[in-house]
Amino acid sequence: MNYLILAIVIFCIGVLGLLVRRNLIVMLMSVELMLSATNITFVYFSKVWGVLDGQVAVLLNFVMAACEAAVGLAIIVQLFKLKGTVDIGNWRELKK
Amino acid sequence: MPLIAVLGAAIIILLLISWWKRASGELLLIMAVAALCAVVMFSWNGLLSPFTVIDVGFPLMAAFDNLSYLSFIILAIASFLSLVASYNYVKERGQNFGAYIVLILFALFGGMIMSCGTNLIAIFIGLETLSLSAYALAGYNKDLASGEASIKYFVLGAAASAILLLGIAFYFGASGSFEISNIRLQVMNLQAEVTNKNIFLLSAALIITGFGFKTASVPFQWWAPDVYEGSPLPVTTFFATAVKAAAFVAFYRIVSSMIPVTGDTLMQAFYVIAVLTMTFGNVCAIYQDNVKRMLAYSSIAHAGYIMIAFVFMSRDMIAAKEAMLFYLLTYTVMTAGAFACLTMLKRKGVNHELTDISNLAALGKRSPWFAFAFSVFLLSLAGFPPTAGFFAKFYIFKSAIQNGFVNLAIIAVINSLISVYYYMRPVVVMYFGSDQLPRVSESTDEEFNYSTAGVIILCMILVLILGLFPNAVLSMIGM
Amino acid sequence: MIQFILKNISMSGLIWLVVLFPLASSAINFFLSILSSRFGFRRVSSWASFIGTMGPILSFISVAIIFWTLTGIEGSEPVAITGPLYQWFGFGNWQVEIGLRADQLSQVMALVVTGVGSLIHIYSIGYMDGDEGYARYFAELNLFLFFMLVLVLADNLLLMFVGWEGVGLCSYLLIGFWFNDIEKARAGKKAFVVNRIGDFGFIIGIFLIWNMFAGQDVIGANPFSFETLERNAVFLLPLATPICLALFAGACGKSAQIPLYVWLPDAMAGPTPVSALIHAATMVTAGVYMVARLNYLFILSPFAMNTVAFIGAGTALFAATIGVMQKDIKKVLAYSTISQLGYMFMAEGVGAFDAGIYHLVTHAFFKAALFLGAGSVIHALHGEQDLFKMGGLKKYLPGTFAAFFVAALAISGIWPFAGFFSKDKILWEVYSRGYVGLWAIGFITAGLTSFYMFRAVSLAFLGKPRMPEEKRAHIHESSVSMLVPLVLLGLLSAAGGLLMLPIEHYLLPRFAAAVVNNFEPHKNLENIFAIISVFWAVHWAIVAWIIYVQKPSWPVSVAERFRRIYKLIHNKYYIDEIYSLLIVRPIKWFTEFALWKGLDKSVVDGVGVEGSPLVVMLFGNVARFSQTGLAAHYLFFMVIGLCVVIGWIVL
Repeated sequence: MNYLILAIVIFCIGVLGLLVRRNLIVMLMSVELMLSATNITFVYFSKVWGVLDGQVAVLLNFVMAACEAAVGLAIIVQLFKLKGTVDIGNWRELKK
Repeated sequence: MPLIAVLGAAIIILLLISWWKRASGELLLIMAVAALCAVVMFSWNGLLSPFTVIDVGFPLMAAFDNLSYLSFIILAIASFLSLVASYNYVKERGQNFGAYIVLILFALFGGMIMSCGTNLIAIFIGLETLSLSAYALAGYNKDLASGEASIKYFVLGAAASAILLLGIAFYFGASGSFEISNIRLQVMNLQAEVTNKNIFLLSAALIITGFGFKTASVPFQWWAPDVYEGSPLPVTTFFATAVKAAAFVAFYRIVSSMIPVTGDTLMQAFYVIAVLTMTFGNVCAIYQDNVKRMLAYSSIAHAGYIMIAFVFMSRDMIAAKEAMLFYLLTYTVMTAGAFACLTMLKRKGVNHELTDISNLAALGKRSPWFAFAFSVFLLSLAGFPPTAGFFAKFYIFKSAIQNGFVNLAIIAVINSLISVYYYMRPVVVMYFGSDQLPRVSESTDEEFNYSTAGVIILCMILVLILGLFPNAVLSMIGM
Repeated sequence: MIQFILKNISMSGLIWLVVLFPLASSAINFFLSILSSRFGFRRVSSWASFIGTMGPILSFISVAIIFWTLTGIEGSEPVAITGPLYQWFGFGNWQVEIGLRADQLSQVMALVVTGVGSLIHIYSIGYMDGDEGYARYFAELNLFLFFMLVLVLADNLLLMFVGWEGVGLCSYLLIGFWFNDIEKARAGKKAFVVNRIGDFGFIIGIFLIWNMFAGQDVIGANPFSFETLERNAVFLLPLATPICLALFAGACGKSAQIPLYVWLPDAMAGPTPVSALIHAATMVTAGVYMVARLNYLFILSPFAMNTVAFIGAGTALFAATIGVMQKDIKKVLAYSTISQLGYMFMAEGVGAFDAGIYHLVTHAFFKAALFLGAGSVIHALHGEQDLFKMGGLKKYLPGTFAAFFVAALAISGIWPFAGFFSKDKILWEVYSRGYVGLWAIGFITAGLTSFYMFRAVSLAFLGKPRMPEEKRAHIHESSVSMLVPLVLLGLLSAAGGLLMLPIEHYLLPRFAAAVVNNFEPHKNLENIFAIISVFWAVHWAIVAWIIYVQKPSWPVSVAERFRRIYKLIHNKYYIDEIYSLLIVRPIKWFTEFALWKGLDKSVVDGVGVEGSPLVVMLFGNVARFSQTGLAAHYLFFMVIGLCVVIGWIVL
């Protein structure tokens, strides 16, 4: 049960980071934090049920997180080239 | 087989463009189209042949039933339409068409895995494949709007994925398996196990959030208008059609396994989501002068109509599936047609999209057939009686009433009445012009190009077929 | 040849072919028009005209074969139905099926539509020669013919409505065919709006029928087919009057009756063959056809029948008086069309459906001839439409004059031309069923008709030429492709009287017998009336000739003397202005002031009395401004949404 609480706390920290920070790199890190929290949950439930599915899922999630980070960084680099900043608050032309 | 065809084509084209730099766009396009045709063909075969369980010696994590095959067909049509419509678009902006095709094909592959997957992890991987390609596609134009669309989509999408993944983890925690129709889930006695019940409901809420994001339903729709507006037009088409269809089908599969457990709680949630979504989309669309953004809001509104099917799903699973698939098919065709019409608008020497409504002024006079086609798509989106869009709405509303959701149907009808206003506006501007709009100094021309015109004509034919033979198509879906 | 076709094509297949030929030629011409924007219109125009005319002609041949075959079978009713092609859509255990039906009524209509249609297509070859939108013109005209045939041959009310909307669309496209002119575009808009009002009535009628049939088990699975309707008309008895009035409102819109006639004169902005085909011979008669088709519903409600009769008679007289003063040759014909349609409704309203349809047929002949003649005149004068700038054209356009003159004799009801038989038949039916007042109106209208037609003939063809000198040299008779249809239609309007007895006998079994008043007129009265009305018509024709040819100064002095009445009629009784004052402006005012300024008020007052639009606006603004464009806000909203969903579902 404690593992679960730990996971939820980490997840919430990730969400808060995402909400509070405006630096894209930090936001990306917050998302990674959320994914890691999810991985802890997988491992915990895998142990509770006594099956290996959850642990396999964790491996797959690592791959997914890596891909996501790669694509995200590529987009951030692209944006940095366009505007010279990594602050998400500068991107608000499209609205209403 | 359809999956292999798409994956194979994607990999071959990827290798081809990295080794043979001068591979012509036409060749690649033909290859991709061939792959899509193969998908449709195999799916058609699969649809007609009796359902067999494919035994490959290990858990397949996927179901090949008529839901999968039909969604393959819808996805392939959507990808086909946006691919062909984008040929000119990408070419005249001097971009790399090969990479574009590869991204679309990978996204399609992800979408297909989503729609046939029966294992939550498989569905999640499909969704990520789709999303990652989509993020890249959104930023395919190297301008500010496109960049903004891409980063917004990415940040919000990544958060939504993490939430969805957490939901999957809790689902696993509650049932001990990733299979969406596992035995434990079916015999789970929620009254007895309070902890399990709460974990399960929590997972349901998280999964709804994740898919609510992908399907652009209120209150998770925020990204959609901005991303749709900023992305390149053919990519917007792809988002509005293929991405949405894949998300809805996967969502359907998951929810259909949850409903026996959760009962009416989910139904109430969907009720509220459906009402909010369609109302939000419609009232926001009224104010848009940018046709592309207007169509983005309209796409949210249509997601709301489809959500109605999720509401009465707890009463009649089959009717919900049929109504949803028919709606998705119709919506795909008419939206792709409307976007293709926008893609065709050009002005000499200008390379950005002309999506403001004032650009449509007097098109009814200069190119009547074009204006006619655009009007048909818009009227169909509004749901005017003899069009395909009418029957799509008709079946959803009808099933809602049959299952006792009369109020919901009335709200939906009021919503479609509101929507008539903004769908008619471009039509009025095209045919009658409007004094309130700022005059455009130069006239807009629709520049004839065969690929986009072909898409428009194909969409017209499909809209016509769906409008003329709705019963036939529906009985095919119900097979 | 016919034997061969009959052996190989079944009857229902043939009926489908009737509809498919125009559709196919329309589709081909559509592609040609796309091609013409690439390769120049001259390259494709000969193909376009060939294909565009072959469609209607083949269709006409098929209708003719159907007609001869069905009448050739002894001892059975000449009715053929294709049966359902497929189920269109369904709800519950009710199905709406797509099927066609060729009974006596629809055969006669289809013969007229395809026959006159073919002639007008041939005429168009010459008339539209050299126009840039040549292929587009034929595509749209063929498409119109397709929808018209769907309307006429449909076997259920909903399919008929599809055709109904389709012809409206094509009419709208063709009115605005020359769209460079803002005035013409506006005419298209007006037609569109006025017709929507009528269609709204039609839809309400359909819903009422549905409502009445709901819950009746005997209706069967196909509630809207005409067969079911005819069999189960009894169930509609309680609501017969509202249903019929709603449907008649639709007919009023399409057939330009009071109060919805205002769009037709403006619709003359389109090319003249279009006016001839759509706004004289076929589409505008759709309302007449609909009432005749649903005769078994209408006779259920005497009140609705009387409404039809009185509105018809009123329109006939009203439009005829306006027609007397028009200067534009096409406007004269437009008002004349409205007036003649009024005659048809008058006949149907008193229960003489056969007379109404017969007049429809003869009217198609002579009005098409008149319009094509007018087109020929306009063509020769390079677009001049003002009657007072014509004159003396007999010399220049002998063929056109002959056809126009014969058609004018026909419409005026002079023996032995077609109009005499049909109009006299209507007047007699009206009188013999006891509607003496209506008969008087019809009789006066007949005189007026004769007067304004011969006014037009005199001004255009007789007297001294009034056009400028340099124009006179360029006047030339039209080409053969225009002249041949014109002359054929002239012959038809001369000989149309021969068709009277066959058509009546053929149609009669289709119509339910209306309640006839016990009014026994004298046997010889019919003949006496006929003779009187011929003299009446001739008298007015001569008067017109005297006034406008012999004494051209008279009209001016008369106009001076009765200045007020003259102005009133000349301005079409100010109906357009009245409509604008009473309906258009209040709506505009309402949208501008009540909605605009009302918004302020409701924000201040808190509660909007003006209703939903305000709520929508308000909510829309709030919702729209929530899209701030800032990703951080979106994330925040999303998390709030997540919390709400979790709270909702878990707790």
